[in-house]
Amino acid sequence: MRAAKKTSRLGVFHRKDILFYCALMAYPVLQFVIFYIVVNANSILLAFRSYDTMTGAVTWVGFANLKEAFRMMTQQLELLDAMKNSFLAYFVTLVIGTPLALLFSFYIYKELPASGIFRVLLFMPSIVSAIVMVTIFQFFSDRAVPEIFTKVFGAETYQGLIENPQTRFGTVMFYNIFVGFGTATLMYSNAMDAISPDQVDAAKLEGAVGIREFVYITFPMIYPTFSTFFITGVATIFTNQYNLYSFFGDGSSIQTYGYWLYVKVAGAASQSEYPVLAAVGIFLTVIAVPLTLIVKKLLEKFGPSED
Amino acid sequence: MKGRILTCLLCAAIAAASCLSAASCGPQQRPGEEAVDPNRTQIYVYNFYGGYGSDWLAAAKTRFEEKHKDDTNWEEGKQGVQVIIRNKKDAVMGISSQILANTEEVYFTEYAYYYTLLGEGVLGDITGGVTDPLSEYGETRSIADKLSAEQRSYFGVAEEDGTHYYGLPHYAGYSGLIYNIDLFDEEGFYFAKTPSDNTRDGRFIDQYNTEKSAGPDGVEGTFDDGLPATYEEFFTLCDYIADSGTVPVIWNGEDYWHYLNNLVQALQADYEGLDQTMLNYTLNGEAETLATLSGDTVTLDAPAAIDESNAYELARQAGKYYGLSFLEQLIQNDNYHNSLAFNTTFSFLNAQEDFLYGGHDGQTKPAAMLCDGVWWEMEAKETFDAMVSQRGEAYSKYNRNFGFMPLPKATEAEVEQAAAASEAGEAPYTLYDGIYSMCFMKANVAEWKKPLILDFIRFVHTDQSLVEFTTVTNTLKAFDYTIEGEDYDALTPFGQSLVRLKDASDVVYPFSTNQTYIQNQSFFGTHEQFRSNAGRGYQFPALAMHDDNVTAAQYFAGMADYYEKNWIV
Repeated sequence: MRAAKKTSRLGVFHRKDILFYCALMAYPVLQFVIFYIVVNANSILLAFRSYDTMTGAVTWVGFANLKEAFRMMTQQLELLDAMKNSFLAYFVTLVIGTPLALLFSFYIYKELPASGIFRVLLFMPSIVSAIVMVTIFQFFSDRAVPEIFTKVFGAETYQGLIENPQTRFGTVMFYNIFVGFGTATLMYSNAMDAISPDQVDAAKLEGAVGIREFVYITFPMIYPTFSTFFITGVATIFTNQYNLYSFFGDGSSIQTYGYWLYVKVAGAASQSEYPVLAAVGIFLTVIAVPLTLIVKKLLEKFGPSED
Repeated sequence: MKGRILTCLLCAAIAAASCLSAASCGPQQRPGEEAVDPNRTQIYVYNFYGGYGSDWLAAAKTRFEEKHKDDTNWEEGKQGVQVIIRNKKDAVMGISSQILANTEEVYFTEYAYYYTLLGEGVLGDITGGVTDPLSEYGETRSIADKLSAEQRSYFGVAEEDGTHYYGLPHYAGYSGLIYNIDLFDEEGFYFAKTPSDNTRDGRFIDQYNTEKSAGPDGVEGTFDDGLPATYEEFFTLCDYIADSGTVPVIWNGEDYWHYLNNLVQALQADYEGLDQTMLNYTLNGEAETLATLSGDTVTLDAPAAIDESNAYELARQAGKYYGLSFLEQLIQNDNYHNSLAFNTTFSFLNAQEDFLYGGHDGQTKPAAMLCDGVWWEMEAKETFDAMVSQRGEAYSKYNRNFGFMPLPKATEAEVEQAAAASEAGEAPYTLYDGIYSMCFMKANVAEWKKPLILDFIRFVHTDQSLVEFTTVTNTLKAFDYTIEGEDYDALTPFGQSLVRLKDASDVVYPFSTNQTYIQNQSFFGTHEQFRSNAGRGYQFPALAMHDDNVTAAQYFAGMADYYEKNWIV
């Protein structure tokens, strides 16, 4: 009898809360189902279909689109270039951007001089519109820098950093690393703030200060955050545009897969051009998924532990 | 209890905020838009607000509303018609899924793929409006009669009960070189009919030698006299201009690959002529200009039958090589162009400003030619207005002489051919209109309103409206109509030059009803015709030549390779 009463009270309470929770979550879940699951499922199916522009008829074409996508990805020079640039751009942002983001985060976490200003400056690009940031950066790179060089080094006319094909890639990468600091610094410094002060004090007593503290205490403690960033970065190798469209529209001489796909989809004259692009997307997924899982496994296996 | 009430209020607020996204549907007045008059029947018009502006549409609207001001037959209790113009910059292909739900009923837009929109079911049938003579406006021709054969073939869809029209062209979008006639006149940048001596400078007119050469059409006494007839003369002119301290050609650095691609496309079309250029879209016919390169020597192959299976061979059309060779010379010699020609911060508006202010503001170098489209005068409106308010009416576009330059021919032989064509009453020039402009009515217009909208479409395609479009914008509609007398005199000098050149030209509209073309339209798009496997692979020759010093010959060879390997059939 007592047990039944308890269940009954619990059931009433639970039911109302569940109803409320469902009502609240229904809309976002529906959005997720439609705009993520259905869209991606449709994209996968699209790779096996063809679409007639005139009649709207959809027919199954087996692996024809995949064959064409494979041919393009292995033979078209611009796609070979895009593959190379996708990995190169990721590698550059990983090798240069990640250590610097960790360093800046540690600096802010330790509340060293001007850390407040750093926090604002590094996060500013994330707040300001991307187009505005790109425009400011373009003017700085292509007008201000040549002007400075001319005044400092002499009368010769210098090309802008983006204008000059020799410096263009590096300049775009610099921009991407710079604007990427905001989110990374925020996440890392928040993770660092969650470290127990007792542990830090104990480490200090053992002589772990400065860089030693970072290596033996801070980094292991924020390792889950770091590995999340690392893993999601690998997953986006083929979707990251690196702001190329903001810089160059559809005429970028630097191509990554993320940029190429965006330009192709945006510029498609009809839906009949989507299936091959969807097939390219499948191949990129086939590359990205195992790579991401391998990286995850490696990070779990070889990363530092809290112990 | 309080917590629950607060939670419910919060949920209600979130739900209300979510519903706001649906609140923008329906005919509502937007900021800056004319208020809807509840006593009149509205027609909603979508106008792509690009270089051509909307003044032309405002002028047509005024006359149309006047014509219908006493109508009471459209909606009960209402008298008259109101045309609501919505100026937007959304590309129509990006909003095609919204057209049927949108309020706008008539669209004037560009870069519109007709058969794609038709296949998506967004285009309304306007056949009756297009094929019936415009007799109520005192005309004997129909709108269809004002189309070229290529346009009728493209826009006219063969159905069981005859040909149906679901769209019409809109404005003409030629690109090329705009030249500063005042500067040319002042500095004598014209070739003399008879050189004074054997030097470079002796080839140009001077105070003693004033008779101009025949120009690219090879005929004396025409509007192109004195202009460079061949590519060789053009670059001799550029050297001459550069030595005088003037910039020969100016273009924007922000988007130079597109603008220079347009120029190469224009040069190619002018070399190839209408029929040979159209092979690239019809994929059927005989190619007469396929070329093999040996060093710089171009040898034309024997004519070859072209069909869908081998149309990739058209990448070897000689006109494409000649256009590339022109571009190579223009890009590789820094004396021929402005210093910011490849600088991403130098926009098309900056280029137009420098072109207009050059030599007049004490700091900007004068520029002889601007690489741009025929819409440039409308885009530069603010600069013209600023110059007028600063310096007086002498600087208005009506008092400054600019011209749309007839492009030089690749070789002397081409000039002779042009002269022969002129004498035979044929066009010595070919223009390329790659802007895919379109006017259409959406498919789900209310039945009762269709006659009104069809009348509006007919109204804006009367000769009077077509001429009005030209007098307002100083550009052309992509139709056959005549501008003469007072209407011609009312144009700016640039507008007049455009009319003269159009009258002397065939026009390429780069589309066809070939099924392969229709199913793969962006493969044949304006900026897809010059892809190359040279070097690391390029879409735009200007990028290849500027970034990696790829030569025209290398690029041309790479084009043949690219299209053979990536042909879509």
